[in-house]
Amino acid sequence: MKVRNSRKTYIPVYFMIVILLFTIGYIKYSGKELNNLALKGAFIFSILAVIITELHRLSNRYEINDNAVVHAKGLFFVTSKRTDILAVSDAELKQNPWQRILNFGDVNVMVFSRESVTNVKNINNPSEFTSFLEDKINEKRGGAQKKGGISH
Amino acid sequence: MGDHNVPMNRNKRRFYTKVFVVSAFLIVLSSLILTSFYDVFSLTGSIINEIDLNNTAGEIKIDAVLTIPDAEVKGKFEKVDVKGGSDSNFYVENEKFYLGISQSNYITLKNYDGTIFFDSSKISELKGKASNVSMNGVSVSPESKSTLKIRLDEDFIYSSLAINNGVYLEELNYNATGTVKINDGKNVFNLNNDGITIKNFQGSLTLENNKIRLIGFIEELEIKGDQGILVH
Repeated sequence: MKVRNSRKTYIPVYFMIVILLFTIGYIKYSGKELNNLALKGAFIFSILAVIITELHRLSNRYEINDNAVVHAKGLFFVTSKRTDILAVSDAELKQNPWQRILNFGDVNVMVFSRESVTNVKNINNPSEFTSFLEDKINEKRGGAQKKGGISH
Repeated sequence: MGDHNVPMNRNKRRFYTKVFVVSAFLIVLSSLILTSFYDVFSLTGSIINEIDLNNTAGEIKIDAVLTIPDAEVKGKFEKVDVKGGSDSNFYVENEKFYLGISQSNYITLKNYDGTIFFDSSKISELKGKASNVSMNGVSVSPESKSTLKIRLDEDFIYSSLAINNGVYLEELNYNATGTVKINDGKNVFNLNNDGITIKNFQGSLTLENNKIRLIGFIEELEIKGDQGILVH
Protein backbone atom coordinates (compact mmCIF):
# COMPACT_ATOMS: atom_id res chain seq x y z
CA MET A 1 0.00 0.00 0.00
CA LYS A 2 1.44 3.35 -1.04
CA VAL A 3 0.09 6.69 0.13
CA ARG A 4 0.99 10.37 -0.02
CA ASN A 5 -0.13 13.42 1.90
CA SER A 6 -3.73 14.26 1.19
CA ARG A 7 -4.51 17.40 -0.79
CA LYS A 8 -7.15 18.08 1.83
CA THR A 9 -4.27 19.27 4.04
CA TYR A 10 -3.84 22.24 1.75
CA ILE A 11 -7.49 23.29 1.72
CA PRO A 12 -6.70 26.53 3.65
CA VAL A 13 -4.14 27.46 0.96
CA TYR A 14 -6.58 26.62 -1.86
CA PHE A 15 -9.19 28.67 -0.03
CA MET A 16 -6.80 31.66 -0.01
CA ILE A 17 -6.35 31.30 -3.78
CA VAL A 18 -10.12 31.16 -4.28
CA ILE A 19 -10.55 34.31 -2.16
CA LEU A 20 -7.92 36.13 -4.26
CA LEU A 21 -9.52 35.06 -7.54
CA PHE A 22 -12.96 35.95 -6.26
CA THR A 23 -11.69 39.38 -5.18
CA ILE A 24 -10.12 39.97 -8.62
CA GLY A 25 -13.40 38.91 -10.27
CA TYR A 26 -15.43 41.18 -8.04
CA ILE A 27 -13.15 44.17 -8.69
CA LYS A 28 -13.40 43.55 -12.44
CA TYR A 29 -17.16 43.15 -12.25
CA SER A 30 -17.61 46.35 -10.29
CA GLY A 31 -15.64 48.23 -12.93
CA LYS A 32 -12.84 49.31 -10.62
CA GLU A 33 -9.32 49.53 -11.85
CA LEU A 34 -7.05 46.69 -10.83
CA ASN A 35 -3.59 47.70 -9.77
CA ASN A 36 -1.11 45.91 -12.00
CA LEU A 37 1.36 45.22 -9.23
CA ALA A 38 -1.31 43.85 -6.89
CA LEU A 39 -2.71 41.70 -9.70
CA LYS A 40 0.72 40.29 -10.46
CA GLY A 41 1.22 39.66 -6.75
CA ALA A 42 -2.04 37.73 -6.57
CA PHE A 43 -1.15 35.57 -9.57
CA ILE A 44 2.37 34.92 -8.33
CA PHE A 45 1.02 34.00 -4.88
CA SER A 46 -1.57 31.63 -6.42
CA ILE A 47 0.86 29.92 -8.79
CA LEU A 48 3.56 29.54 -6.13
CA ALA A 49 1.01 28.23 -3.63
CA VAL A 50 -0.14 25.50 -6.04
CA ILE A 51 3.42 24.54 -7.01
CA ILE A 52 4.80 24.51 -3.46
CA THR A 53 1.88 22.53 -1.99
CA GLU A 54 2.15 20.00 -4.81
CA LEU A 55 5.93 19.66 -4.32
CA HIS A 56 5.39 19.29 -0.59
CA ARG A 57 2.82 16.57 -1.20
CA LEU A 58 5.07 14.71 -3.63
CA SER A 59 8.05 14.89 -1.31
CA ASN A 60 6.47 12.54 1.27
CA ARG A 61 5.67 8.96 0.32
CA TYR A 62 4.58 6.23 2.71
CA GLU A 63 4.49 2.54 1.93
CA ILE A 64 3.55 -0.64 3.75
CA ASN A 65 5.00 -3.73 2.11
CA ASP A 66 5.39 -7.30 3.36
CA ASN A 67 8.50 -6.48 5.34
CA ALA A 68 8.49 -2.88 6.45
CA VAL A 69 6.81 0.46 6.80
CA VAL A 70 8.74 2.86 4.58
CA HIS A 71 8.74 6.65 4.73
CA ALA A 72 10.57 8.21 1.77
CA LYS A 73 11.15 11.92 2.13
CA GLY A 74 12.46 14.30 -0.50
CA LEU A 75 12.10 14.87 -4.19
CA PHE A 76 15.63 14.87 -5.54
CA PHE A 77 17.62 13.81 -2.47
CA VAL A 78 15.49 11.07 -0.98
CA THR A 79 15.83 9.95 2.65
CA SER A 80 14.14 6.64 3.25
CA LYS A 81 13.27 5.35 6.71
CA ARG A 82 12.32 1.68 7.02
CA THR A 83 10.68 0.21 10.11
CA ASP A 84 10.57 -3.58 10.18
CA ILE A 85 6.99 -4.76 10.35
CA LEU A 86 7.83 -7.22 13.13
CA ALA A 87 9.24 -4.37 15.21
CA VAL A 88 5.96 -2.43 15.07
CA SER A 89 4.16 -2.55 18.39
CA ASP A 90 1.13 -0.40 17.70
CA ALA A 91 -0.30 2.36 15.57
CA GLU A 92 -1.85 5.53 16.88
CA LEU A 93 -4.45 7.31 14.76
CA LYS A 94 -4.79 11.06 15.32
CA GLN A 95 -7.57 13.20 13.87
CA ASN A 96 -8.83 16.61 14.86
CA PRO A 97 -12.48 17.50 14.18
CA TRP A 98 -11.60 19.09 10.82
CA GLN A 99 -9.70 15.96 9.78
CA ARG A 100 -12.56 13.73 10.94
CA ILE A 101 -15.04 15.63 8.80
CA LEU A 102 -12.82 15.31 5.73
CA ASN A 103 -11.57 11.81 6.56
CA PHE A 104 -7.84 12.35 6.70
CA GLY A 105 -5.34 12.34 9.53
CA ASP A 106 -2.06 11.15 11.03
CA VAL A 107 -0.96 7.66 11.96
CA ASN A 108 1.99 7.23 14.33
CA VAL A 109 3.63 3.87 13.80
CA MET A 110 5.50 2.89 16.99
CA VAL A 111 8.05 0.19 17.62
CA PHE A 112 8.50 -1.96 20.74
CA SER A 113 11.68 -0.22 21.78
CA ARG A 114 9.89 3.18 21.60
CA GLU A 115 13.09 4.60 20.23
CA SER A 116 11.55 5.82 17.04
CA VAL A 117 8.15 6.67 15.69
CA THR A 118 7.23 6.89 12.02
CA ASN A 119 4.76 9.71 11.61
CA VAL A 120 2.50 9.09 8.66
CA LYS A 121 1.03 12.53 8.28
CA ASN A 122 -2.11 13.83 6.67
CA ILE A 123 -3.10 10.80 4.67
CA ASN A 124 -6.50 10.04 3.25
CA ASN A 125 -8.55 7.40 5.05
CA PRO A 126 -6.07 6.78 7.92
CA SER A 127 -8.23 4.05 9.49
CA GLU A 128 -7.88 1.96 6.33
CA PHE A 129 -4.12 2.49 6.48
CA THR A 130 -4.08 1.36 10.14
CA SER A 131 -6.19 -1.72 9.38
CA PHE A 132 -3.92 -2.64 6.49
CA LEU A 133 -0.89 -2.25 8.75
CA GLU A 134 -2.48 -4.46 11.42
CA ASP A 135 -3.28 -7.11 8.83
CA LYS A 136 0.29 -7.06 7.59
CA ILE A 137 1.66 -7.31 11.15
CA ASN A 138 -0.65 -10.23 11.97
CA GLU A 139 0.17 -11.93 8.71
CA LYS A 140 3.89 -11.57 9.30
CA ARG A 141 3.71 -12.65 12.95
CA GLY A 142 1.56 -15.64 12.05
CA GLY A 143 4.10 -16.63 9.43
CA ALA A 144 6.97 -16.17 11.84
CA GLN A 145 5.28 -18.31 14.52
CA LYS A 146 4.60 -21.02 11.95
CA LYS A 147 8.22 -20.94 10.90
CA GLY A 148 9.26 -21.14 14.57
CA GLY A 149 6.91 -24.13 15.12
CA ILE A 150 8.43 -26.08 12.26
CA SER A 151 11.95 -25.48 13.44
CA HIS A 152 11.05 -26.82 16.93
CA MET B 1 16.86 16.59 25.51
CA GLY B 2 17.96 16.29 21.90
CA ASP B 3 14.92 14.20 21.06
CA HIS B 4 12.67 16.89 22.44
CA ASN B 5 14.45 19.72 20.62
CA VAL B 6 13.97 18.27 17.14
CA PRO B 7 10.13 18.30 17.13
CA MET B 8 10.14 21.66 18.89
CA ASN B 9 12.28 23.15 16.13
CA ARG B 10 10.07 21.51 13.55
CA ASN B 11 6.96 22.92 15.19
CA LYS B 12 8.56 26.34 15.30
CA ARG B 13 9.47 26.11 11.61
CA ARG B 14 5.95 24.99 10.76
CA PHE B 15 4.53 27.86 12.77
CA TYR B 16 6.74 30.41 11.00
CA THR B 17 5.83 28.92 7.60
CA LYS B 18 2.14 29.32 8.42
CA VAL B 19 2.69 32.89 9.61
CA PHE B 20 4.62 33.66 6.41
CA VAL B 21 1.94 32.18 4.11
CA VAL B 22 -0.93 33.92 5.93
CA SER B 23 0.99 37.24 5.97
CA ALA B 24 1.77 36.99 2.25
CA PHE B 25 -1.88 36.23 1.52
CA LEU B 26 -3.09 39.17 3.64
CA ILE B 27 -0.60 41.56 2.02
CA VAL B 28 -1.68 40.52 -1.49
CA LEU B 29 -5.39 40.63 -0.63
CA SER B 30 -5.20 43.99 1.11
CA SER B 31 -3.14 45.50 -1.71
CA LEU B 32 -5.78 44.29 -4.20
CA ILE B 33 -8.62 45.79 -2.18
CA LEU B 34 -6.95 49.02 -1.09
CA THR B 35 -5.55 49.91 -4.51
CA SER B 36 -8.86 49.21 -6.23
CA PHE B 37 -11.34 50.75 -3.82
CA TYR B 38 -9.30 53.49 -2.17
CA ASP B 39 -7.25 55.82 -4.35
CA VAL B 40 -5.13 57.03 -1.45
CA PHE B 41 -3.61 53.57 -1.08
CA SER B 42 -2.55 53.34 -4.72
CA LEU B 43 0.80 51.60 -4.93
CA THR B 44 2.08 53.64 -7.82
CA GLY B 45 -0.58 56.29 -8.30
CA SER B 46 0.70 58.66 -5.66
CA ILE B 47 4.24 58.43 -6.98
CA ILE B 48 3.11 59.08 -10.56
CA ASN B 49 0.92 61.97 -9.44
CA GLU B 50 3.83 63.52 -7.64
CA ILE B 51 6.06 63.11 -10.66
CA ASP B 52 3.38 64.51 -12.97
CA LEU B 53 2.58 67.49 -10.85
CA ASN B 54 5.92 68.47 -9.49
CA ASN B 55 8.62 67.08 -11.64
CA THR B 56 7.67 66.19 -15.18
CA ALA B 57 5.52 69.27 -15.80
CA GLY B 58 7.77 72.21 -16.31
CA GLU B 59 7.33 75.81 -15.28
CA ILE B 60 7.01 77.23 -18.76
CA LYS B 61 3.50 78.41 -19.40
CA ILE B 62 2.28 77.65 -22.89
CA ASP B 63 -0.67 78.59 -25.03
CA ALA B 64 -0.26 77.13 -28.48
CA VAL B 65 -2.52 76.90 -31.50
CA LEU B 66 -1.03 74.57 -34.06
CA THR B 67 -1.88 72.11 -36.77
CA ILE B 68 -3.02 68.80 -35.38
CA PRO B 69 -0.46 66.02 -35.02
CA ASP B 70 -1.10 62.28 -34.81
CA ALA B 71 -1.09 61.70 -31.07
CA GLU B 72 -2.23 59.44 -28.33
CA VAL B 73 -3.40 60.68 -24.95
CA LYS B 74 -3.78 58.22 -22.15
CA GLY B 75 -4.84 58.72 -18.57
CA LYS B 76 -7.62 59.92 -16.33
CA PHE B 77 -9.50 63.02 -17.44
CA GLU B 78 -12.19 64.82 -15.54
CA LYS B 79 -14.19 65.66 -18.65
CA VAL B 80 -13.92 64.83 -22.33
CA ASP B 81 -16.22 66.45 -24.90
CA VAL B 82 -16.45 65.11 -28.42
CA LYS B 83 -18.56 66.45 -31.26
CA GLY B 84 -18.96 64.95 -34.71
CA GLY B 85 -20.50 62.15 -36.64
CA SER B 86 -19.54 59.30 -38.90
CA ASP B 87 -20.51 55.81 -39.84
CA SER B 88 -19.35 54.27 -36.60
CA ASN B 89 -20.81 52.79 -33.44
CA PHE B 90 -20.24 53.97 -29.92
CA TYR B 91 -20.46 51.26 -27.30
CA VAL B 92 -21.41 51.95 -23.69
CA GLU B 93 -21.02 48.59 -21.96
CA ASN B 94 -23.04 46.33 -24.30
CA GLU B 95 -25.30 49.10 -25.59
CA LYS B 96 -24.56 50.16 -29.17
CA PHE B 97 -25.20 53.71 -30.36
CA TYR B 98 -25.02 54.38 -34.07
CA LEU B 99 -23.35 57.73 -34.76
CA GLY B 100 -24.13 58.00 -38.45
CA ILE B 101 -27.63 59.46 -38.08
CA SER B 102 -26.42 62.92 -37.14
CA GLN B 103 -23.24 64.72 -38.10
CA SER B 104 -23.27 66.69 -34.87
CA ASN B 105 -23.38 64.09 -32.13
CA TYR B 106 -22.34 65.48 -28.80
CA ILE B 107 -20.66 63.06 -26.43
CA THR B 108 -19.51 63.98 -22.94
CA LEU B 109 -17.48 61.59 -20.82
CA LYS B 110 -17.05 62.30 -17.14
CA ASN B 111 -14.06 60.91 -15.24
CA TYR B 112 -12.82 59.19 -18.34
CA ASP B 113 -9.96 56.77 -17.84
CA GLY B 114 -8.54 55.39 -21.04
CA THR B 115 -6.91 56.11 -24.37
CA ILE B 116 -7.71 58.49 -27.18
CA PHE B 117 -5.78 58.28 -30.43
CA PHE B 118 -6.44 61.08 -32.86
CA ASP B 119 -5.16 62.81 -35.95
CA SER B 120 -6.26 65.92 -37.82
CA SER B 121 -9.65 64.56 -38.84
CA LYS B 122 -10.58 61.50 -36.87
CA ILE B 123 -10.40 59.68 -33.57
CA SER B 124 -9.09 56.25 -34.48
CA GLU B 125 -9.28 54.87 -30.98
CA LEU B 126 -11.30 55.73 -27.93
CA LYS B 127 -11.37 53.01 -25.35
CA GLY B 128 -11.73 53.18 -21.59
CA LYS B 129 -14.09 53.73 -18.72
CA ALA B 130 -16.15 56.66 -17.56
CA SER B 131 -18.35 57.32 -14.56
CA ASN B 132 -20.98 59.01 -16.70
CA VAL B 133 -21.64 59.19 -20.43
CA SER B 134 -23.88 61.72 -22.07
CA MET B 135 -24.95 61.13 -25.69
CA ASN B 136 -26.77 64.03 -27.32
CA GLY B 137 -28.12 65.06 -23.95
CA VAL B 138 -29.12 61.57 -22.86
CA SER B 139 -27.17 60.63 -19.77
CA VAL B 140 -26.07 57.04 -19.10
CA SER B 141 -24.87 56.13 -15.62
CA PRO B 142 -23.77 52.76 -14.30
CA GLU B 143 -26.33 50.84 -12.24
CA SER B 144 -24.36 48.30 -10.26
CA LYS B 145 -20.79 49.30 -11.11
CA SER B 146 -19.03 52.59 -10.60
CA THR B 147 -17.88 52.97 -14.22
CA LEU B 148 -19.03 52.22 -17.73
CA LYS B 149 -16.85 50.58 -20.35
CA ILE B 150 -16.87 52.58 -23.55
CA ARG B 151 -15.32 52.22 -26.98
CA LEU B 152 -15.63 53.21 -30.62
CA ASP B 153 -15.60 50.47 -33.22
CA GLU B 154 -14.60 52.55 -36.24
CA ASP B 155 -12.84 55.83 -36.94
CA PHE B 156 -14.90 58.75 -35.70
CA ILE B 157 -14.82 61.97 -37.70
CA TYR B 158 -14.86 64.73 -35.13
CA SER B 159 -15.57 68.39 -35.41
CA SER B 160 -14.18 69.09 -31.95
CA LEU B 161 -12.54 67.28 -29.08
CA ALA B 162 -11.85 68.94 -25.75
CA ILE B 163 -10.09 67.48 -22.74
CA ASN B 164 -10.13 69.65 -19.67
CA ASN B 165 -6.93 69.62 -17.65
CA GLY B 166 -5.02 66.51 -16.72
CA VAL B 167 -3.65 65.86 -20.19
CA TYR B 168 -0.06 64.76 -20.06
CA LEU B 169 2.06 64.42 -23.19
CA GLU B 170 5.58 63.24 -22.64
CA GLU B 171 6.81 64.43 -26.00
CA LEU B 172 5.17 65.93 -29.03
CA ASN B 173 7.44 66.14 -32.03
CA TYR B 174 6.18 67.08 -35.50
CA ASN B 175 6.17 69.71 -38.22
CA ALA B 176 3.59 72.33 -37.33
CA THR B 177 2.11 75.57 -38.49
CA GLY B 178 0.66 78.05 -36.03
CA THR B 179 1.48 80.19 -33.02
CA VAL B 180 3.12 79.37 -29.72
CA LYS B 181 2.84 81.83 -26.84
CA ILE B 182 5.17 81.40 -23.91
CA ASN B 183 4.72 82.80 -20.40
CA ASP B 184 1.51 84.75 -20.89
CA GLY B 185 2.48 86.03 -24.34
CA LYS B 186 5.88 87.45 -23.36
CA ASN B 187 7.33 85.42 -26.19
CA VAL B 188 5.40 84.57 -29.31
CA PHE B 189 6.68 82.25 -32.00
CA ASN B 190 5.09 81.80 -35.37
CA LEU B 191 5.65 78.52 -37.11
CA ASN B 192 5.32 77.73 -40.75
CA ASN B 193 5.73 74.03 -41.19
CA ASP B 194 8.62 74.09 -38.75
CA GLY B 195 9.73 71.23 -36.56
CA ILE B 196 8.51 71.60 -33.00
CA THR B 197 9.27 69.51 -29.94
CA ILE B 198 7.25 69.98 -26.77
CA LYS B 199 8.39 68.00 -23.78
CA ASN B 200 6.27 67.10 -20.77
CA PHE B 201 3.17 69.05 -21.53
CA GLN B 202 0.50 69.14 -18.86
CA GLY B 203 -2.76 70.98 -19.21
CA SER B 204 -5.84 71.03 -21.38
CA LEU B 205 -6.22 70.17 -25.02
CA THR B 206 -8.77 71.20 -27.62
CA LEU B 207 -9.04 70.09 -31.22
CA GLU B 208 -11.22 72.26 -33.40
CA ASN B 209 -11.19 73.70 -36.92
CA ASN B 210 -8.15 71.62 -37.82
CA LYS B 211 -6.18 73.21 -34.99
CA ILE B 212 -4.96 71.89 -31.70
CA ARG B 213 -4.91 74.27 -28.75
CA LEU B 214 -2.65 73.41 -25.88
CA ILE B 215 -2.95 75.41 -22.67
CA GLY B 216 -0.80 74.44 -19.73
CA PHE B 217 2.79 73.99 -18.70
CA ILE B 218 5.79 72.43 -20.42
CA GLU B 219 9.33 71.55 -19.48
CA GLU B 220 11.00 72.24 -22.80
CA LEU B 221 10.18 73.75 -26.15
CA GLU B 222 12.32 73.45 -29.22
CA ILE B 223 11.51 75.01 -32.57
CA LYS B 224 13.69 74.00 -35.48
CA GLY B 225 14.10 75.73 -38.77
CA ASP B 226 15.14 79.35 -39.34
CA GLN B 227 14.26 80.41 -35.80
CA GLY B 228 16.18 77.66 -34.00
CA ILE B 229 14.73 78.23 -30.56
CA LEU B 230 15.23 76.20 -27.43
CA VAL B 231 13.35 77.15 -24.24
CA HIS B 232 13.75 75.13 -21.05
